[in-house]
Amino acid sequence: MTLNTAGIFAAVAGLTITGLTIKDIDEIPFTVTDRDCPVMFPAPAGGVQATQAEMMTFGGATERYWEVTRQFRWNYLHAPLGADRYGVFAYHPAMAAKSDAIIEALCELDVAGVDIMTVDLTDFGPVPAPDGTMFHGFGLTMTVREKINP
Amino acid sequence: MAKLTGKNAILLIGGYSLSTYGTSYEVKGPGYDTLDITGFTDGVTNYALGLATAEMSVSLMWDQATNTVTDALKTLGQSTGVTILPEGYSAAGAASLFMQSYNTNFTPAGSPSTVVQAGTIKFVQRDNVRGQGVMSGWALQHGTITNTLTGTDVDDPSGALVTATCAAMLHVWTPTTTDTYVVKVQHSTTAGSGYADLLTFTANGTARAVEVQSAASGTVNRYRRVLATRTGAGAQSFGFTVSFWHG
Repeated sequence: MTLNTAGIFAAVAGLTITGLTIKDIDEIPFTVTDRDCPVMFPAPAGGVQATQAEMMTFGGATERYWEVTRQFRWNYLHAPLGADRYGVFAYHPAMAAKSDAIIEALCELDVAGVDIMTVDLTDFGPVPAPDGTMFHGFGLTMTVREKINP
Repeated sequence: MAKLTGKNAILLIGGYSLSTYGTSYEVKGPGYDTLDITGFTDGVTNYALGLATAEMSVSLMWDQATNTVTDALKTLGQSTGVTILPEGYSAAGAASLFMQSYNTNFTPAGSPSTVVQAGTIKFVQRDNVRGQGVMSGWALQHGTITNTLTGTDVDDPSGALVTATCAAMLHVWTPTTTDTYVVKVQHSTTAGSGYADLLTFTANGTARAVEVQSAASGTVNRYRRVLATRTGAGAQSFGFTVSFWHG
C-alpha cells in the first residue's frame, strides 16, 4: 500500500450530495459562474499540505511501517458575492445545510488504507474562484492518515 | 563510535522475525528481586536479595496473519527465546542481546485513532533457571541462505581467547521444506583457518525454531564463526540468526 492522493480526491469527488457538484483533482475549474454553484473543488493553491511522515516500527528501510498524516483541502463556493440584493448572511442557512451534508458524507467515506482523522471547516465568508472572482463559501480541510508498508 | 538511531533494530521472538511490528523494546537485567525481611522490632526496613531476574519487554503491533505476531505470542508461559540486535545487522559481529525466557502477558489494545496493538510483552527469567539472564554478545549470522554457509570470522573484543562459559541462540525464521542444515558455532585461534566445533544446534532448519546451546567454562578461542552445512539439493531459502555470548 502506498500513498493515494488521486484515490482520495476521486473518492470525495464520487460522493453523492444532493445539489452539490464535487470536482476531482483533474477537474479544478478556472472560472466559476453562478450556474456552476454550489460547487466544491480541491484548493487550487494547496490541495494537499501539512504532510508529516512518521516512522512507526523497526525493520529494514523498505520494510518499516510509516504513518503519513496530511491535509486535503477543498474550496466550497455557494453563490457569487455581491451579485444580488440579498444580505451578506442570506446564504448562511443554505451553506450550513450543505456543510452538514458534506461533513456527514466525509465521515462515512471509506477509502482502503486511509483513516480520516478530522474534518474542519473555515468560517463562512468570501472565497475566491481560481480566476479571482469572489463567492460566498468556505474552505474544508480533511486530515487523513495513510500507511506505508502496513 | 557514532551514535545510532534505533530504526534498524531486529527483533526475533521464538523463531519469528517481528522487527516490522516492533515499536519499542527495553532490556532489564540482570537484577534481583528484593525481599522485605523487616522484623517487628526493627527500626528500619530491611531487605534481602531474592531470585536473580532478567527481563526483556517488546512492544508490538497486532497481526494475526500466519507466522506473525499472534502466532509468536499466543502461548503464554511457554519457554522461548528472544534476540534483539539493537543496531541491526550489517555484518557478523553486530551487537546482540538475547535471553531464554517465557512470555508472561499478551495485552492487545486499540482505539479508533491508532493501529491495533499487541501490547508490551514481557519476557522474564527468574533465578537463571532458563539460562544466563540477558546475554550481551554478538550476532554471528542473520540472513537467508540457500546453500552451505561458512560465516565470517568474529574476533573477540579482547583480541584474545577467554576461559568462560559460553552460549549461543539460534532462531530459524524461514524454514526449509526438504533441505536440512547442521548449524554450528566454531572457534579458532587463527583467523580464517583451524576452526573446531564449539556448539552444535539440534534444529535442522526444516521447522521454525528457537534453540540455545551452552557449554561449561572452558577455552573459547578468540575467533568465532557460524558454519551451516546443507544436506539436500533443494536450494530452498533458509533464514536464520545465530548469536553468541561468553561469560
